Amino acid sequence: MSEYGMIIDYKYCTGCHTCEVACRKEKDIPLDEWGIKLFEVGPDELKGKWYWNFIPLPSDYCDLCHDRIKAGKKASCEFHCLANCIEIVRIEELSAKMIEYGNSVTCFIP
Amino acid sequence: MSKTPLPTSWKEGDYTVTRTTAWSAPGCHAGCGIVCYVKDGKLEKVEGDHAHPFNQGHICPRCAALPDVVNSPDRLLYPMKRDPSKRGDPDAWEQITWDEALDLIYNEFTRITNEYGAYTLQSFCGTGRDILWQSQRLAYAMGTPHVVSYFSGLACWMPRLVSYNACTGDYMMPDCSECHEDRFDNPTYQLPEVIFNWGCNPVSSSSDGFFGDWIVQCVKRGSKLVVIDPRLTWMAARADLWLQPRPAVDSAIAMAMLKVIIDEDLYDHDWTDRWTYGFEALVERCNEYDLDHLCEVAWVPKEKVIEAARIFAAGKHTCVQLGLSFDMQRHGIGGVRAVIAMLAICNDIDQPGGQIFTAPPYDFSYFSWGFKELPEEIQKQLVGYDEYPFIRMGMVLDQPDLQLVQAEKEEPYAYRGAIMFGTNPMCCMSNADLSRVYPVIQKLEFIAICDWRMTPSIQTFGDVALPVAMNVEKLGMIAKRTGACAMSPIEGLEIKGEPKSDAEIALLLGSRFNKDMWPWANTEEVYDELVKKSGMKWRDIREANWLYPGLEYRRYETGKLRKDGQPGFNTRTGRLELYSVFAESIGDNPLPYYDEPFYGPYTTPELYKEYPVITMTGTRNIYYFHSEHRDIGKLREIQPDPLAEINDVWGKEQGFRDGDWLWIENHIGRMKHRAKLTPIIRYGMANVNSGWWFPEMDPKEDPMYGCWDVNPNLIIEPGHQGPTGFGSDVKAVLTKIYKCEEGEY
Ligand code: SF4
Ligand code: SF4
Ligand code: SF4
Repeated sequence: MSEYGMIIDYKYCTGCHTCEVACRKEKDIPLDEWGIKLFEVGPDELKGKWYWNFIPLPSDYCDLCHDRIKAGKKASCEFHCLANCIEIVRIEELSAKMIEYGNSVTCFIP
Repeated sequence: MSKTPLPTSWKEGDYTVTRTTAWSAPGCHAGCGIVCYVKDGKLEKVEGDHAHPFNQGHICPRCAALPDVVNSPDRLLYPMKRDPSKRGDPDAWEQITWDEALDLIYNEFTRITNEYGAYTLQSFCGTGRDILWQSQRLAYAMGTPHVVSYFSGLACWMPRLVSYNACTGDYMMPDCSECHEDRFDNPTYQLPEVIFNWGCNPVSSSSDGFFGDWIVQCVKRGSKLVVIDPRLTWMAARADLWLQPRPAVDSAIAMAMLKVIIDEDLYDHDWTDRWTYGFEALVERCNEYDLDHLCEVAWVPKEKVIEAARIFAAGKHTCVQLGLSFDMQRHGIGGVRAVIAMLAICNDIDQPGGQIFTAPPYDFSYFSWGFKELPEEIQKQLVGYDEYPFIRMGMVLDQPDLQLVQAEKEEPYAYRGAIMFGTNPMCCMSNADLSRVYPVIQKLEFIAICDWRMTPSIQTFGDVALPVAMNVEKLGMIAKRTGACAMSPIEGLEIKGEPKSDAEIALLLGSRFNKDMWPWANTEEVYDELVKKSGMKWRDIREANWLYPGLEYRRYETGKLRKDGQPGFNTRTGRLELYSVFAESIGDNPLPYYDEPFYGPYTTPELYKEYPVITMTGTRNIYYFHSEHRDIGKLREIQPDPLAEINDVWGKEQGFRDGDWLWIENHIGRMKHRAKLTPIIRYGMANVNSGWWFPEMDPKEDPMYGCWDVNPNLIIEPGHQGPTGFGSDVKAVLTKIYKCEEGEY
């Protein structure tokens, strides 16, 4: 079981793709594969309001930037995210942290 | 400089690490703080600088991919020349030394000067980055006033700049705490209660020195958001209110909102009485318009406009991120003035969380540095000098629409030679019918181009190509409106080839043409001269990493906005001019107004029948800066082709599918894009990209690398500049759209 998990607070994810490029760079991932991918949901009109979210999701390449975390740094995608959408936390803190983030938040465990 | 600066360079394992500023080349207007990691002489990775107040560690994918740009195998490494008779031939280039290149340029320009006059020379500049004062001061040293970009109506930032200047005495930005080094923690700062994001999508573009993430930070902290945009953007989807006007009539919405604020008496009487000039005239101007009519032509329900006006007036404070879209309309200036009037009479000017004055810090103002040193008769040859007195204010550039005609007719003279800095006019910055711009550039006798890689412009008409140094390789400086940052070659980097900064190229050439104007021995001395007024040296700024002068509010009360120290604004009347005395003095419309574009459903209904698809241009996306970055795999894979966003319902009715190549055609030309069906724009409308070319193409087949096929500048008609010479109808083009036949893509 992983020691850490990734919180993805996608309410303010602007869809900038920086996480994808930062991860590619960090892990040296070839162009036809991916480390973290941005998914786009919407835009759709739901209940009379626009629903449009970008949600990043890591792949099997993702080790939550083990080496960086061990060195006391932030994961590469977490560090560069334009909107502070990503946070790597200890796995036992996941649910408490997610409650703190409020709505439109999900998590990933490798 | 009171605090101890952070280290500029340090070791981290095998890496030598340097913090610096990402300011051209490549990209961008912002100049974010970055941290660069070098191993074995090579730039390995770039991270955002979390200590830097400007971007607080956040970076775009472009800066994350900066090592791929710096290490690109396609960099120009040495100067090259090609016989002008072999333009377009990729095999005709010949490597030369810097001395040979500089001699060649000097000799050719001197020959032209002797035969035809120095004023037949042009200096092309791209969008404003670390190339602007360089191209200007070099031009002046060569003896010509012609700093050129063939972009109709100078339709980028300039219209907003002159409008702000005419009414308020300086440029203004929304206060997202960006001018405080301690940002949101600054004790004098207050969050904007309301942010209007109008005619731009800053999370994608971070344009005009405004980092888009700032708005997201404010909204996260509780600012209310109103978006006015013909496209549903990600921000619009989250806004408390979204208005979706017809493209290119922002001034109608602005006048309508202003009218509601006045008619419903929602403004601050006291502030308006004390600090503004021309309120009665403004009321009269508003009375000339009918609210129903304004809303009808803007295609926005009246209730929504009224709601927006009420939110605007209620905000304590309200600020506006005013976008490029206003510049891309012939009459956008009328709308900018209406927005300024709203901010003024609602008491949002120079208030925390309102609209703030952001002059370049420490008086580092070097627009048009040296223009006044030209003899007066040469100054007067600036194109538009007599026709458009606004042109002489601030950043002095030739008026492009007039200049295109002059260049075509060769009246009063033909242009003969040019040097280009930071521009790739075959792909962008030529929004004036490329099929007319191309021949006037091609007929120049001699063209030298500075760039960091081969571009369609160099391949098509370059006679000399000079390799440009990247931000991490050069000594430079940015005087952002928030603060000043300097850069120097990062530690441990082994620079490949012999690239030089644009500043160094300008210095080397400038000192040959006019030693009095370029007396300096190296670029550090040039920067020392530029920052002299502050009592600092370039090195002081580099060692501090960044310097923030900070921001005081309500300076109109304390006399700090005016040179004479009197309270008030830096205008002729000393008041905030709702009625611009300067505009009046040059015979210009002194008040906010709305008028229709030259071509549109109401102005040219017959043409609209034939070309019923209103197509928007100029939309940026975050993976590319103008025509750059199409050669960087990590970025290109995100969006491999130029995309035309087409309304999904309408597109299906037309039989279009995602990925289809489409022709987008108007009365002067056509170009193609791939279809992307989406609900984000209105039924029957489209939105296209800019700056595209295909670096992977073989230049032997096409020295333009395919850019001619996909360039929206082929369907933009010049000559419809605004009454001041600024602004042009380049935002919304009447087109028809149909599928490409097989073999056409
Ligand atoms: S945590 Fe590291 S490996 Fe995982 S997605 Fe982010 S950057 Fe990639
Ligand atoms: S970097 Fe952050 S804001 Fe940008 S796409 Fe990734 S998660 Fe979203
Ligand atoms: S705005 Fe983006 S590309 Fe420009 S300097 Fe900042 S991070 Fe780099």
